[in-house]
Amino acid sequence: MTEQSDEDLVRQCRAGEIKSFDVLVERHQRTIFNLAFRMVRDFDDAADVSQSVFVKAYENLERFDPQFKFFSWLYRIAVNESLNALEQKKRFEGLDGNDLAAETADEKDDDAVREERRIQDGLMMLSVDQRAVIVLKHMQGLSYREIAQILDLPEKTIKSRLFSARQTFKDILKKKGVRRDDRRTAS
Amino acid sequence: MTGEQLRELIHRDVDGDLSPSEQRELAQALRRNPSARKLHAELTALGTALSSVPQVEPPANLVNRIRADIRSRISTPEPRRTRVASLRALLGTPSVLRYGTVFTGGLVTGALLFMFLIHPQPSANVSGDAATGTLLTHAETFQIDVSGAKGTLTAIPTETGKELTFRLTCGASTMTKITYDPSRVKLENVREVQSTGGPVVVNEGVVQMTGTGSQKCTLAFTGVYRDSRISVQIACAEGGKFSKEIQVR
Repeated sequence: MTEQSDEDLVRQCRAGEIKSFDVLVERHQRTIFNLAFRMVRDFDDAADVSQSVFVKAYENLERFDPQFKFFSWLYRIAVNESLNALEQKKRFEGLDGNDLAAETADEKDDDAVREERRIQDGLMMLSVDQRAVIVLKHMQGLSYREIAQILDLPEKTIKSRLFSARQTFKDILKKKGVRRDDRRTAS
Repeated sequence: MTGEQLRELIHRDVDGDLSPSEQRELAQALRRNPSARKLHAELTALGTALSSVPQVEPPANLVNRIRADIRSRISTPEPRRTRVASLRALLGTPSVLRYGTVFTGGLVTGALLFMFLIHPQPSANVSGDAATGTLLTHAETFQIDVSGAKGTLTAIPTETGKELTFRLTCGASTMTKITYDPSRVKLENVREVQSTGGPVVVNEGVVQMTGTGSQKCTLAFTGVYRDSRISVQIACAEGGKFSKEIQVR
């Protein structure tokens, strides 16, 4: 049996079939959770953000413009909700995530875990604007055009923001002494 | 090729965005330029490292949490489309549905005629005195319903050097995006989520500008979600006058 498209499921949901929305949740929850996790870093916060993203999407389904892809719209809500979560955390705890970027790698952690942690630490040192484009481009594999739609910005702005974000990220990792993964590039 | 153009080619190559001819052009430039070669290698390695970060497994109960949350919210008010579906189920037979549709259509048409012909409104999305171009004194407060809408708010002081103050308050749980020209507008106490010259997401705060009599101050807003609303107060210093214009689309 062929899988129903997001657009079909949205249509059915708008006609009152809530179970169609369950399928959309199943389909996209992992991606949305990962996007949120890379943005906010905290596992529980990422789960809260994901929950809020789908609830908002459901509540606003009638406002979804079908000329755009459903997942782009979800991404947009996810980025906004992540920013809200970071802002709330900052307000209540006086932290902006950078403080969380402490070097906490245990000796027993393997190389892959340490590398991931260093990357995430570096991400949290970027501004949220820069972090969003890096996450959407490199961790979600989206095109310039898709990112532009999600962030509601011109493609040209996305490119220049991404290029400067990458440069900044490279400098941050260099300062933090992040090992370049020569084994990966050599293979 | 300038250094800036070369840097752009390198970045676009990391993103896999180059055409075959651009790739050849880049390869030639890299052969001639060791520092560009180094940058290219570093950015490529960075791109690989970022793409290799593994996905994180969401909590096992996330889907159930989301489902439960949504169902608890729809047990009372259903989304509009769902109500249409329920109405269809209630009316049952196609003929009843047809007559009902005609009757309802007549009612809606009548209501629209009343709203737009008999009882015209300056803007359906603005409450308070927000008629286009109205000349106002001192201060004016109104609300703009920006649910899923885009629009602009422009204020023009009628006298030179009068300072205008916008007090913007958005619902705490709603997302309203307000963009502004940072070179013209001073923001104070604004809860700002995004910045660096791009769109700012503002929940509450004060926007100030000094007009010269002919200069306009324009804020663009986007209501991301249903029920996004901005409460706006515009005040002109020393009793000066100003006109304002609101466009919602």
